[in-house]
Amino acid sequence: MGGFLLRKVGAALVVLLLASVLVFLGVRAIPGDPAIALGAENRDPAVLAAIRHKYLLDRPLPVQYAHWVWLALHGDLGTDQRDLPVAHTIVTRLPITLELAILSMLLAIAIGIPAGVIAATRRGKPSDYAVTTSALVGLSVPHFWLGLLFIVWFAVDLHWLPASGYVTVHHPVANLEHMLMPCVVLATGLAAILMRQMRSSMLTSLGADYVRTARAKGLSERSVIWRHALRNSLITVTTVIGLQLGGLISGVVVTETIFGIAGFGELTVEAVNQRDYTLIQGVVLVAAAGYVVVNLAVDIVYSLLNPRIRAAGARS
Amino acid sequence: MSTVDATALTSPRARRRVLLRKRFLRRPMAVGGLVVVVVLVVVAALAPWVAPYGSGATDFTSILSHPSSKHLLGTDELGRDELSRLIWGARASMQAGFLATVLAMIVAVPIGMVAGYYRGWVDTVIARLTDVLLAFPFLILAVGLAAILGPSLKNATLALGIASMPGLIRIARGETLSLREEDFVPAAIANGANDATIIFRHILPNMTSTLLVQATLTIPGAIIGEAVLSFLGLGVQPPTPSWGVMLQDAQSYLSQDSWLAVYPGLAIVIASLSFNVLGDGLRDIFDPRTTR
Repeated sequence: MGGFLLRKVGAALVVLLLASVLVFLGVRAIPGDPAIALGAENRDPAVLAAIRHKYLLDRPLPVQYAHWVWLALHGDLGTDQRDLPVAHTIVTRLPITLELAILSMLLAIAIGIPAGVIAATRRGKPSDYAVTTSALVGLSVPHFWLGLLFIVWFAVDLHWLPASGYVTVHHPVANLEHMLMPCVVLATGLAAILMRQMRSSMLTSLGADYVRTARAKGLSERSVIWRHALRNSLITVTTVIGLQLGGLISGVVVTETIFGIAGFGELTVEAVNQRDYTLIQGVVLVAAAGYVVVNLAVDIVYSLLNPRIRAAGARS
Repeated sequence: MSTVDATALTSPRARRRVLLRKRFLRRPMAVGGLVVVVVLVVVAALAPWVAPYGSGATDFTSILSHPSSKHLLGTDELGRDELSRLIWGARASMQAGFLATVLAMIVAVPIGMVAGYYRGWVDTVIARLTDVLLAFPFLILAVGLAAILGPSLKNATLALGIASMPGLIRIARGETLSLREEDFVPAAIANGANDATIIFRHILPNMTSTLLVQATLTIPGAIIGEAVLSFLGLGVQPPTPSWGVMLQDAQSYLSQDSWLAVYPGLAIVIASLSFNVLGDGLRDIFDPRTTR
């Protein structure tokens, strides 16, 4: 098990290192002189030279990269165009996005998993068709459009919910009011994916030998489904949930833009639109790092849940 | 008139084709998906002849007007015919959907096959590089690339193509890993085939069904991706119509004319739903476990 963990962590570190190189080179590949962008379009040669010197832009790329990584490891991602520390901006924006992501994920799990189980246990019946059809629709509806429709219906027409903005958790009711629409929007696509995955892995589990054994032992159908088949299906679904986090981050970018939530996603779009190099660099690096770490955690949880992998790890 | 009996066909390939067609026609959803896909492609291709008005034609006498016989779906804030813009916008969506997928396939499939065929260090290197690309969430990668390359439909397509590659590399690799253990590989080696021949003449044809399904399911992702990028201002640039651009325009007029936000979204849903349904149908008919 220790060797397995070490291998996984090592691979994640290599990926992270290569990803950081890619981010660094990618930002350098953005057309235009970063010194001009950093200097707020001031083209005075003396100012540009000073900026180049300050941001090490006059040094070779490997030096710039090493310097950037070294500072990043110490939590310093440089300063953006407005001279604000990037790391601090990200840290203040991140909790908002995490709240949005976690609430959406919980909502998607609460809908997707039971719906998938129902569809699998009533295969071919009307409830199965209802679940599979709504999953298909959920997959095909673009989040941002659903967001616009929600704003039209629930904010503009009915005045039930605020159209945009974010209120801190210190005002729980207002906070949830602002979070409700974005969460539902983000959860639709996720719930659809979870439903489909849950249904197919439940169908596999229900056809497996251990389920036949459980039935032969005379266990109630309820116990067979919920205690035996579901537990094994959840192993696959855990992985899918982890893999969907990438999709969730993508969804957050658009959803926050539509609902005017000043989180990490909106920051990403803002950074790109303003061609703020240090900000783009920091945001993309943090997104990639977060994603890699979560996937590593999923891998580890998966191996802890799956007795076969656990046993293989113990043997080696 | 004699009827053609499927079993009377001599070549196994022809027999399989008949079987697949039979299975496909028994799935009304998939057939419907195919019909809608074909209609969308034809409408997009024939936009100059099908659309009632030009893509940028303005009618200042009717601004934000309701549906009428003159403008079937009404007009937008500049008096442009909504239906015509939807039809012209289909071009951007179809172009992004198909070209991004073709690009991703052309690059990803050979890479995945090489990794799966040679295994060893080649596989490890490719797997790590794929992991690196996978470390960037789809939209972050696409947004980043659009930022590097500049906003345009061509660059958005390129970005979506690159962002679709990692998944396809993994699928091609997995398929090759299992296909290279099949008996036809030693048989081809005995016949004196080199690696390239084995990979492209023997293994590739055996994974076409998987790739076809995957392509059909990659297209809707790229269609939605194009809409998102254009909506964020990183794809098609106004005044060129695209469903994403139309939604962005509509965002400013939500309280005056919310229908402007409904039509382009419905178009995206119809397009991606029909590709998804078609892809699911194709997966079912190619699946050997499906007996019908």
